[in-house]
Amino acid sequence: MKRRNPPAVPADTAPEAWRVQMRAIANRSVHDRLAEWEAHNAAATRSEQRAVLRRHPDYSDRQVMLARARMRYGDELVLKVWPDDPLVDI
Amino acid sequence: MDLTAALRPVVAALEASGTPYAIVGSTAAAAWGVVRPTRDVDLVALLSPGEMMDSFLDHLAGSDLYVPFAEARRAAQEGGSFNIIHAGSGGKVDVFVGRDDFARERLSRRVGDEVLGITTWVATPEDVILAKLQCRLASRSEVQWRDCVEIAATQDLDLPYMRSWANRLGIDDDLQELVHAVETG
Repeated sequence: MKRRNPPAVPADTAPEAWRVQMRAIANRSVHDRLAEWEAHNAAATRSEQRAVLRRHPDYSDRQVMLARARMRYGDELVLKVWPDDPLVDI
Repeated sequence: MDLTAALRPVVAALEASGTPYAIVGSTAAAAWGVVRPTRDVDLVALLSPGEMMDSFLDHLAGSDLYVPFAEARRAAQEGGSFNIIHAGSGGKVDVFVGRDDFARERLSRRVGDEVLGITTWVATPEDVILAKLQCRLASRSEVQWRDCVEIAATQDLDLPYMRSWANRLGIDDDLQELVHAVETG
């Protein structure tokens, strides 16, 4: 078969290690996987918040949220959702 | 970005208006094996114009949500998607209005589960893979491919069902390659 996509096993992972990893994932419950997903999202949020605050230590919680929204969603959507707030520097 | 604050009222409005829907995309993928942070929650909803859409929007009116009413009504008429955002936190839900046979099939096979503490509906692993393969037809996204590999490697999939839809969606080769890659990986 002519391959059009990357192999299943990533280049930095030994095939046996990949199989062990997949078995471990398969053995977890949906609840556990979604709990881990929530934890990842929370960690990403904290990381983004810290990054904004490093650049703008004077920002309020709302300004941090608006800066993150501007980075994620772009100016057009931010101005629609928060029309009364000025665009904050990101 | 509080995804719970955005998702909870949207799910409540969909349920109250009797709209069939399911969580799809990376959130659904997280339920079936691929855990990575996501920026929003994607939903497919069979929102039809008229009474159902009116009821859905009525249930969202007055909430702390940005809801683009005109865009939502247009999506119900013509297809497409719209964003709902929790103004207090920036949490975002993207609603894709399903109009084709694949959307209806996905929703007929959805499974109930709890996401972010909310009792809701999630697309099956087979349908998450099919949708991702279809979505990456043009982009050939490696991230999407990796999601498909990890779901396929960790779930017992209904392959006859998937092959049937892969043929209709024009993704036979990718599905065949996915199955082969996982079996020989």
